[in-house]
Amino acid sequence: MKTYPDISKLIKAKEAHRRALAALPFERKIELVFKLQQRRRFVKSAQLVRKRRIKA
Amino acid sequence: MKETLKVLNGILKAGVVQRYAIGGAVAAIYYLEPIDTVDLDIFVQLKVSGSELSILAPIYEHLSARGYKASGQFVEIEGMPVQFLPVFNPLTEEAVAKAQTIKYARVTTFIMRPEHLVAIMLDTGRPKDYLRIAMFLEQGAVKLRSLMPVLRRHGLVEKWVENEYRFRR
Repeated sequence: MKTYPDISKLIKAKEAHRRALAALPFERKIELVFKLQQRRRFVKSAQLVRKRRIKA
Repeated sequence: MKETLKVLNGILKAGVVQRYAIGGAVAAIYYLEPIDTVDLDIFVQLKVSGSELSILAPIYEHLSARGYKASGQFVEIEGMPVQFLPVFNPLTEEAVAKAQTIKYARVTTFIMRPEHLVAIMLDTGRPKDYLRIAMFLEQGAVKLRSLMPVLRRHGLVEKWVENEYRFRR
């Protein structure tokens, strides 16, 4: 039978990271949201370039 | 966002609104981890009441006179799209009335309490609302002893019981 790695430690670490993020000051969390939006814009612009290249 | 809040406090000071409170995703971020959002939802208690959205007109006029332009349902205030929502039922009215006073970068502002946010999300009932309720419960950001009285007052206990399986693991 095939065995798979136990990722429960990774899941727990993810959970801890989420809790640490939740515990940050409000101002810091809003900063992170703005960064998220910048990243989203960047990803979207990259998709646009890719689509244009495909069309060309 | 600091400058946006200063403008909102100006609306309050000018008496255009009686009270305001931050709701929606930005309020959720206050209690949870950062989540992606595009706008700032501001619930307002106005001096006038009515069933038409035109009751929001004094806010738009006040902002327009100060150079802030409306675009669709948003008003761009200091780089942040803001959506104004009049309190539209007893639950949102209570949520604004009982909002807590906080400081953001030394600016005073008002933010809905977690029990009201969860009750509003339950009432709205979109998939993303249920997901956020699950986050509030999972992260211990809302206390059931504070939430249940709000749900009882606003006739939401049955809906909570029906949907609880969606929020709990």
